[in-house]
Amino acid sequence: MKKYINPKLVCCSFKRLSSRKKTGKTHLERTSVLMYFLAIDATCKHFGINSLDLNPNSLDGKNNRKQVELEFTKLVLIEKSRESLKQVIELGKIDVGGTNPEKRISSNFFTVPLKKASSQQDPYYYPRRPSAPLLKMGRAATGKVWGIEYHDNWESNFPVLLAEIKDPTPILDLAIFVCRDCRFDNNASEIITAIGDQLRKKFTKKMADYWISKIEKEKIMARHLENAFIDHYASFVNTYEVSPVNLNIYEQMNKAELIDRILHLEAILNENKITYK
Amino acid sequence: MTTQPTFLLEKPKPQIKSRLYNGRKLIVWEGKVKISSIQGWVDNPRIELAKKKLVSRVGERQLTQDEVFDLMKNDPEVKLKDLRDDIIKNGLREPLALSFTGKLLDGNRRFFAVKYALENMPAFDPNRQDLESVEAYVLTEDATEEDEQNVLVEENFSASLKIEWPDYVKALKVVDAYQDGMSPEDISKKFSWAKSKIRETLKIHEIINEFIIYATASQDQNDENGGGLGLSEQEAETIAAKNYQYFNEAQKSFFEPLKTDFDFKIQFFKWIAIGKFSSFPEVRIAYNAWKHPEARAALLHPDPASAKSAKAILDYNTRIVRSTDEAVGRIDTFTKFLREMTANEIKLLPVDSRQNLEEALELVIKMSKAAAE
Repeated sequence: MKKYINPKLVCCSFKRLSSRKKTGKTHLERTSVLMYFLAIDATCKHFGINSLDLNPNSLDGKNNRKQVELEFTKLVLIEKSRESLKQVIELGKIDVGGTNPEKRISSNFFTVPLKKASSQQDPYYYPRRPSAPLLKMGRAATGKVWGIEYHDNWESNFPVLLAEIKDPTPILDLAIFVCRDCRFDNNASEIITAIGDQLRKKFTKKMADYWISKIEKEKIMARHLENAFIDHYASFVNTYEVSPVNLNIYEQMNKAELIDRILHLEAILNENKITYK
Repeated sequence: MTTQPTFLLEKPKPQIKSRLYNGRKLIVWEGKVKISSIQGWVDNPRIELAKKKLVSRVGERQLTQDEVFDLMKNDPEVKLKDLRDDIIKNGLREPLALSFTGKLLDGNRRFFAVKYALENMPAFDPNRQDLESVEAYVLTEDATEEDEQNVLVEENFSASLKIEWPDYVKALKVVDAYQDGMSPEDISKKFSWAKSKIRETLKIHEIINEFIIYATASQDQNDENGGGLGLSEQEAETIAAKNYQYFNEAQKSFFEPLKTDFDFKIQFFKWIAIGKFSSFPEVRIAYNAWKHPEARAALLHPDPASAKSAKAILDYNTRIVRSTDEAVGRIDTFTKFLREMTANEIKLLPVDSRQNLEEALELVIKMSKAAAE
């Protein structure tokens, strides 16, 4: 007998990961960085290694790239059917349609920062904005042209990427979201411990240790963990309600806010490789 | 023609006037109204915290006029006794403002102060009559909810000689509006506050919200930080209200560290709860002190003056760095000057100056060698 995280809890945690700002593209950019980083770590776990070579011309590199794409897809894909694709582009929101996740990472992360790092003499640190790198890339930093390793300060930089989130338990909520489809043993009584076990299965030891230690601290601020499990699987997408956009808000925005909003919408279009005028 | 409110006295004859409230011109009736026919505003946010305490004692229910009157009398923030004494001496200087249905929109404190004055005034006191019926502005039947809101805003958010609502209470109103889906732009218009202030208020509330969650969490010896503080919601909220401006200082000085450094956040909350800080500059340096081993040790010390000591350590270190930088700058300039000198120019220097320079350079060489060993 197995059990699953209550979709209401997943939905609650997911919404708690929203940005405090309703406009702008900062949160969207940070979501992408986080998801790429977690996908790379999950790939390292999969192959039992500490760094990756993503050389597009070698067999190993191609395999690694495929695995990163797969891990990224597992992280951001919410639902896929013939009719629709639901995925996460920005934490706290579900986007319908757009480019497939594997295409998203390959046409963005692989093609822009990774490629740039491969041709750069100096070490390339990612991300550059915010200035809180999680990864180092390129020959100077890793010894391999297409190499990727953890940045020395990734542990202290990780929370910076969650600083746009308003609610006080972002690392715990992110863990709940990441483990949304996991099956738990029936004797898993306490959600925090059970989540920790799942993180150990999905991510490298250093990532899981780090994540669990942060969750242990944050749990004191968590008030939303009641009825954490149910005995059958249900996707949280059915619980998630999309709030309708109130068109009046655009009329009330000033020029700066409107520009911010347009940048946000453009970023979503870019992320999905949708051309627009 | 607008209908005259029924509770306005016929003498003197009520007049129709126009008055400005928060930039909006409103038509009002001006006349006299009996104090006994007015109901105080039981939902007044000014006494929000005191009300919560009472409700926790008597249970969740609508408070009576007498209970609210008692709260107003006993809440030191409201200073009802001072106003009562002023009214006894000078009368009611400013009319009350009421809705067409008789709801008190402005002057709750004055209304209760008049009641307070009447409570102890002998029946034969010649001033009693002046207080039993008081002047009031009454909105017309056509006034909208927004008009009523404008009266409230004008009287409670605008700076004046009156006692404004406490910052914490005003912040709650802003947060309520935001949670109801209003944009910072709309809230800014509603309360006549700059948009930047609305955004700051929301950030302060975010920190306060986390403080209350932490402070009300149970103590737990198995937790590495000892769990929460185990306070009741009211106790935590009272501390938050009292320290509102310190939270504001934290928002200005180290909002991001509070979001990214969990240990610091918890420690800062502990410091707030025990009243560690006695001034804004002490709050301002809290995160820098946390990152500086010596200042951090000082700040963690239970001594009541520890925040002052931590600030002194940081100030001293800043001065040292500044004076070192200054010395480096002077040396750079002087060595550049020396290097550009020619032998001829040195020859032209007075003998004393040359000797002085040689002695100084020899001394510097010795000291520099000693420092390097």
